[in-house]
Amino acid sequence: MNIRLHGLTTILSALVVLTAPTAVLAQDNLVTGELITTVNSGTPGKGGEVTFTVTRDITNWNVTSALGNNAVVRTVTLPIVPSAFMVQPDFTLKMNTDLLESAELTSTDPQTVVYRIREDAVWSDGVPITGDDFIYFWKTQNRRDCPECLINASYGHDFIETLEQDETGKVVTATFSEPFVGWQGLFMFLYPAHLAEKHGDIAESYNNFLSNEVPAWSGGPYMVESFDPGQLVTLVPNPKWYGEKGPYLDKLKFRIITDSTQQLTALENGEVDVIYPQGATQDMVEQAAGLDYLGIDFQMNPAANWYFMGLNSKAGPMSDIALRKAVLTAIDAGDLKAKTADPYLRNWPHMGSVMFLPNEAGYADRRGARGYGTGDVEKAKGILSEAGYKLSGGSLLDPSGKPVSTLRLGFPPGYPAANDMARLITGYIAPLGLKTDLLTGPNAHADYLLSGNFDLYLNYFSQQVFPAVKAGQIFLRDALQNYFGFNDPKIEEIIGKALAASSIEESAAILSEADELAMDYAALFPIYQLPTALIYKEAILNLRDNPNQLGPAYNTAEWGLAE
Amino acid sequence: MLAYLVRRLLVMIPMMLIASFLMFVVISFSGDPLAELKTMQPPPPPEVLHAMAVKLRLDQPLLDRYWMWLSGLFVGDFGPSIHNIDIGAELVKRLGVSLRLLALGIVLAFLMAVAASVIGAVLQFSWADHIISFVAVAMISMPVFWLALQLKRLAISINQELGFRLLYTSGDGAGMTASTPWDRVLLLIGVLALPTIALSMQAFGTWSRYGRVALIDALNSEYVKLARAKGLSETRVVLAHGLRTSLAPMLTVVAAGGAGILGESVVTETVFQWRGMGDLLVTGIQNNDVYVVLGWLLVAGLIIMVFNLIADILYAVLDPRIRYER
Amino acid sequence: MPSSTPASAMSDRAVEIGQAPAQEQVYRPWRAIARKFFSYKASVVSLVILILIVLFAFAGGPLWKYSYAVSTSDLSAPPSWEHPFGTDHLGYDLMAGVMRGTQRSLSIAGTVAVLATLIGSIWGAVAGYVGGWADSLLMRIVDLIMIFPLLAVAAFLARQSQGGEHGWLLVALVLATLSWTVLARVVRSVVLSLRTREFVIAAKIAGAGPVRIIFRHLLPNTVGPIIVAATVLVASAILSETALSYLGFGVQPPDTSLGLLINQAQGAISTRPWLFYFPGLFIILIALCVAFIGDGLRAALDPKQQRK
Repeated sequence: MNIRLHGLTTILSALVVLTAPTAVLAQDNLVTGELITTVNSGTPGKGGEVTFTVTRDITNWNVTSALGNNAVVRTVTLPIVPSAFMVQPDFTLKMNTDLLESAELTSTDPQTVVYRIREDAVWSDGVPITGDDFIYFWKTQNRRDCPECLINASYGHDFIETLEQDETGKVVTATFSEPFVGWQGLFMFLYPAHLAEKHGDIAESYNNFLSNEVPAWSGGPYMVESFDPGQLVTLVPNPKWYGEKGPYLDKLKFRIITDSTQQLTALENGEVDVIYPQGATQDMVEQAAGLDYLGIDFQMNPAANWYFMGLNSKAGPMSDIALRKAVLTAIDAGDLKAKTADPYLRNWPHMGSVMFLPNEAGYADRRGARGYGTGDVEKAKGILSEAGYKLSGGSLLDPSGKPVSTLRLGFPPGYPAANDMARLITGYIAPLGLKTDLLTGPNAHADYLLSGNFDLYLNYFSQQVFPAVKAGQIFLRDALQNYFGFNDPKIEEIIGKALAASSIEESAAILSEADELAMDYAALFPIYQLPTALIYKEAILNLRDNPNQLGPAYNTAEWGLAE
Repeated sequence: MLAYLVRRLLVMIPMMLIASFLMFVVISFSGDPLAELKTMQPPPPPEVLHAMAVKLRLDQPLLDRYWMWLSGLFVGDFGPSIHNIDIGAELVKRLGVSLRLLALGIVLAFLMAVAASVIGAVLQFSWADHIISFVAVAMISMPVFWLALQLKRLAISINQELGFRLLYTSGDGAGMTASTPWDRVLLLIGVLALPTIALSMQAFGTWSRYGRVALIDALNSEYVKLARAKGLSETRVVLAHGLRTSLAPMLTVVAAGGAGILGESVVTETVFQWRGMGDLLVTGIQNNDVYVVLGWLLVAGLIIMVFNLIADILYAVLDPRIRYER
Repeated sequence: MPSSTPASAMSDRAVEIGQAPAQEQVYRPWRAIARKFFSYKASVVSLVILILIVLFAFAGGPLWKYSYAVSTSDLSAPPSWEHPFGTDHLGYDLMAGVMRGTQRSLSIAGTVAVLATLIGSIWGAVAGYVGGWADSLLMRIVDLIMIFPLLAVAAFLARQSQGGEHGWLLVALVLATLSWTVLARVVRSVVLSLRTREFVIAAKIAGAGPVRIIFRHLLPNTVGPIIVAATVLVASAILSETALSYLGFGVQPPDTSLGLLINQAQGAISTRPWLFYFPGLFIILIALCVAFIGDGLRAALDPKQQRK
């Protein structure tokens, strides 16, 4: 009895004693390479296991479907599902040389692309990967052959008018109805048509077989051995893997831990080997830096996701462009970044465009060029008085003499940085005589963003491979995600031209005009990119942060343990 | 008494109906179940959103939706889920996971509470009694996840001291394999230890306070005084007579309070990443998955009713003074 | 009528109170009770600490040199004389934050206790006094609410929170709506034992209506058990709010509470532990004090208990 008692009191006292403070940011184990595409390269040995941590359960295995389109399903199915092209860590698109011999643009009028599939490329049951698989996928995505298919987005597969294969099935020709600059982003995922055929028509096989059934097939280096819902996906090498390298590991496991703070604890306790939490926080980075003694390294990069503050130009006080411009001018973007990013993110870039990431062709600092984000309160006041606003007794009166209503600044829960930014922005615009209510809650998106019940909203956008495609989702007048009321036919016209450009460079050059106009509209304020953090045991080779939407699982065939 | 119990159950049926309708209404007006889909980047085509709305019966009037749900229950259909979950099957599976944790937590809490009660009652007002009482109150006063997070830190230190990983901080052990029987035992301990401790602490605190009072009462009863007078050893008096008498009210309290732990397991399962009932509820609420939450509440309500019934029966059996007349 | 309350009446929440069966304690001398209460050292110490915490929370804010809303230039500073509880990564002083959070947590707990006590005691008194089918109906509603785990239903209701300045009120209302049932049961059982007593019958004969009898004669005599039960409500409300915050359904930023503070600091447990431990210690301290005060009150109000 005494022992039990003693144990209890020990635990109790252990609970109450504070552990030693270790707040110093030592980043000895932050791995940086010359090139983001080759960092942590090596030749691994054969065998071993790696457990990669993902953040949510898998309830739908079809990454191209509306309900399966998330980072976790992408990560877990990339080792299984073959792709024509893959986005590399430097955001360029590279042909998958394991699957394709070539993919060439053979004509521009009409635009024609010829894919040559490698002879030895087969599914895990030995059936060759052929044009049938391309055609099946195209039919699910083009909105014509299968309107019932619950896809996430067409991504331009609807621009393909005809898709034909030769008698061998290894040469596939796509003819486009109109020029589409983003053709390299097509067929990023392919499904086994011969198996889908056995599971009903296109809609049935797509919505049910490919979505709800755990894949027993594979066209990649690994295949699923078992799935414990909510807990673990176990992959083993695909015996029919046709690729040049790998797979090296005996087992590749994906453990589901939905709380990113607990992922770090599990890593520290050796239960998992890799974590890739979404939205790394200062706490996580500091903790990761402190795990050097366990042989844990980490890589960090600016993600394809970028924070913004949107202004509701459809209704309320922000429908006046002068007020919008004044607010954007009063925000001190330098201070914002210095307080919320710089303490743990080295050399973090500003974001000065609403259509391009800083590392993309077409990017320029169009935010600074307009004086937005300078924190120049006097200039902002000047804009306001010119438009007839008056500052009286600390509060702002609009041109008709009525006080400007308290601004509703919404932001989603779960992003500590958004919370910090909201507090800081409140302070930046206070000198203009603007009061702000910060609003968040579990339903924030539905309560505020979707219902238009806000004046300012902090959130992030995910950039896509082709900036023009993404721009079409935000800035077109009837776009579902045009939350902030962009209403400029010229922007629409330019986006259309950029989509039909003949090269990515040309498309970017055209689109930058739309970027200028969108910045002039002053309804979207770009802040900076979210950080990725890939935290892992240093023994794992070729594990590389891929900060765009594909994530680190783009090269699982090469993952392995150091010998 | 049987008639009394049956009547009690029958009364609950219309009550459950009213409650389920109220909840249905509240949850139906609580945000847009398709919000997550709509804010996805890129957003799904309008046809897909429409198809999802139809699947979730959002195109039907509220009363029809409620009726469809209610009538579906009789054929084992718990309604559609946003994430393609077969809610009925999922509830059964999750219940199994949770019951494993709950049963262990209750047993551990009960054993500790009995031990603490004996010390507290026998050595009444001694330093040991005071410490135990204080610990009991402290456990009741401590937020479960605050305790759980520290248990995890403690586990990491213990593992590092031991040089191997005895204790796990997340997961219910699914997918983990052990080759030898000994390893299997270790794995079982490693996976269960932290969540069980975290879950049982609050119940231990409550029950030990109750048990101490019950045992003191029992030890002061004429019956025990007689046993003492007969010259029985003190150990025998305490264990065979006092404890036996006080176990009756304690068991009753455990049965009634055991169900309350179900609510607490929501937090414990979230911290330790167990995919039980608690986790199902939290994700259901987060996703605005109406029928998941409704199904959950239905099952939880039934379980607690069963626990309450057990408590009533125990109370009647163990304490012959109770009569259920009317 | 069952000759005694079925055990399930003492559900988990009732048991937390460790509530003694309805005692008859008509017109007990308050001075004697107070004297008895003040003879329990643990309870008195707890009362003093709790008063200090309340002062700290409500009067501390204006007196302390830092504000919870204004950041300082000391980022992530460990506890020192300058910042007794340390600062967070933006330089906000944690002591100011804890003051603010304690204030909010206490407001929630207080609101819950007041509302639940009001609803619960009137409900229980009416049920106990009127009896018959009304009693059955009222108490079946109580049974029904008690069937659902508090935390689960609270999470689901509090999810409706749209944040903002008054978001905490919703949390308080939800918790109150779900926790008044304990009070109803306690009060009903006391009233049941009182309603056949001489003074009630005398009042009835004198022509007093049921409202008057309930409010003037019955409820004043249930004050003891009500106070004891209310202290438990305070403690359980603070813990429930903490759990809700952990699950993401509690008080929303920019508002704060002790629960939200520890939830936000859970990632800092090994790097900036002060952020995690100070708010947690305050929760424990409040709950502990309230529990000991409740013990003292119960003992002081219980005629059977003899101090050894």
